[in-house]
Amino acid sequence: MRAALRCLPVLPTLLALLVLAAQPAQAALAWVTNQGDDTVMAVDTATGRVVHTVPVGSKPAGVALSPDGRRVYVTNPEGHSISVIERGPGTPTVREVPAGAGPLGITVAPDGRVFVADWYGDTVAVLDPAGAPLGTIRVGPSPSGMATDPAGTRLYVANREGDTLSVVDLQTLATVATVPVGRAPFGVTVQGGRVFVANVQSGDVSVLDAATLRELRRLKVGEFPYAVAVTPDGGRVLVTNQHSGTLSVFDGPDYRPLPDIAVGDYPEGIAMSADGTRAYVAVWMDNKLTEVDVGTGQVIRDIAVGESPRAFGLFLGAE
Amino acid sequence: MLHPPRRALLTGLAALAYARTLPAWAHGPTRQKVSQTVDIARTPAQVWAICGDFDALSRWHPAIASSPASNGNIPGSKRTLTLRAPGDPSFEEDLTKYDPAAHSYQYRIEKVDPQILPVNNYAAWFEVRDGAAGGSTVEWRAAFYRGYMLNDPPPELNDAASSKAVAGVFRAGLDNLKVLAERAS
Repeated sequence: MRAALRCLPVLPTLLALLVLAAQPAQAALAWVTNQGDDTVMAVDTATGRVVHTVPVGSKPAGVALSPDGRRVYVTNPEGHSISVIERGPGTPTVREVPAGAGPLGITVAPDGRVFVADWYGDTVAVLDPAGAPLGTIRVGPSPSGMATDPAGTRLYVANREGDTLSVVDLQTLATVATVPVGRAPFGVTVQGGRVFVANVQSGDVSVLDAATLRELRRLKVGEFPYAVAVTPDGGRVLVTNQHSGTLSVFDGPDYRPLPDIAVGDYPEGIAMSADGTRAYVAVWMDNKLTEVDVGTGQVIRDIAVGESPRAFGLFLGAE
Repeated sequence: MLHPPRRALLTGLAALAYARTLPAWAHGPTRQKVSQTVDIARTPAQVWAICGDFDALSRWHPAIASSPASNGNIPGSKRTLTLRAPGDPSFEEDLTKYDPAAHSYQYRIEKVDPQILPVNNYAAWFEVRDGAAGGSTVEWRAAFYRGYMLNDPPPELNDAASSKAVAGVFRAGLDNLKVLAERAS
């Protein structure tokens, strides 16, 4: 067998090409925080299989990836820490770094800096890509969801107990504006020059112009919205409604509401595939990651994950 | 006769009489999930006939003295639970979904004194379904936050104590439901 392969040096190359051809172009890993069993699972979105289960700190909730997808950052609210997962050729390694009283929301800027919202400290910690502290930003009460713009100039922070959005200049690390949104803002998503904020208690989504910070629209959604995902062209907006067990869907530049998508009880973190055709939703009560066809609004499949998945953040990354 | 689960529940409720009350309403802590089930040697329809009405709780739960509902089984209906405990503590539960065909309903608690039940932002599901080995399985589950919403909770209002209290309420009810249903012909 080995001799035969040596006689055919071209065969391994051919096999490799065949394997590559069989992979969908959008193959990505979904990194799901399982809050109930203190793990993070990497789900191969092409196959629906769990490829890694990584033990992290206590009650993991938030998740973010480095721009190259090689590092995964997870907040551990009860462990008062973040876990930094380094991906290599084999099993990922993991380190725990202290991170304030109540680390929850987390995001990574295009330059690789990591931002961790401290729910109890009313601050955002700035870390270098390895997890070393660089500074602290004072924001509003109980900061939760965060997002940066694609240019990496601004950080948007939802202050859940302040009903406001803090806007931070990423060069000076100063809060340059604080704008009112709905009641109890939680998830924040930036796409196409718009900032989307899920307002938990008012049951709506604020759509702001990312530059002027003017609130352009207030979209009525289901009960207790948690997070928002938007297609890359901005044409479709999906919102997880924790208490309704549904996704609210809006289409086009005027955000025309489409029928809700039933996904299960307590849908929380939601992320959009790079091509905007699939959305992945962590369903907390049902311990599953649900894959949704964004075009048709149909559930494609449910993937069993760990106990009480939250996946709060941009949890999809390169394979 | 006092069933052992009921005794445990009442002891738990008495211990909570000394709990601090707090106005804070936040999501810093971790949401808890509790699920309890019981297998009953009766069909789902027979079990549902006993426990399916939203206001039926006091007829099958040993710790509930009364549970009248404001609008029957229509979502939005509020049932007022009064406990069999000193001082007749009571609170309201709001029906949010009712599906008799699926033998299930869902409800929430808008507000409850943590001395009575140490939970915040509480939602619950009740369902009777076909059992794996015949008969039926009843599942009662809830999602909620602990009684103390700030950091470093006192022991009687922490995640473990809150989950234990809810699990105790469910267990006492389900065990008694099994006795009542299997006793009925």
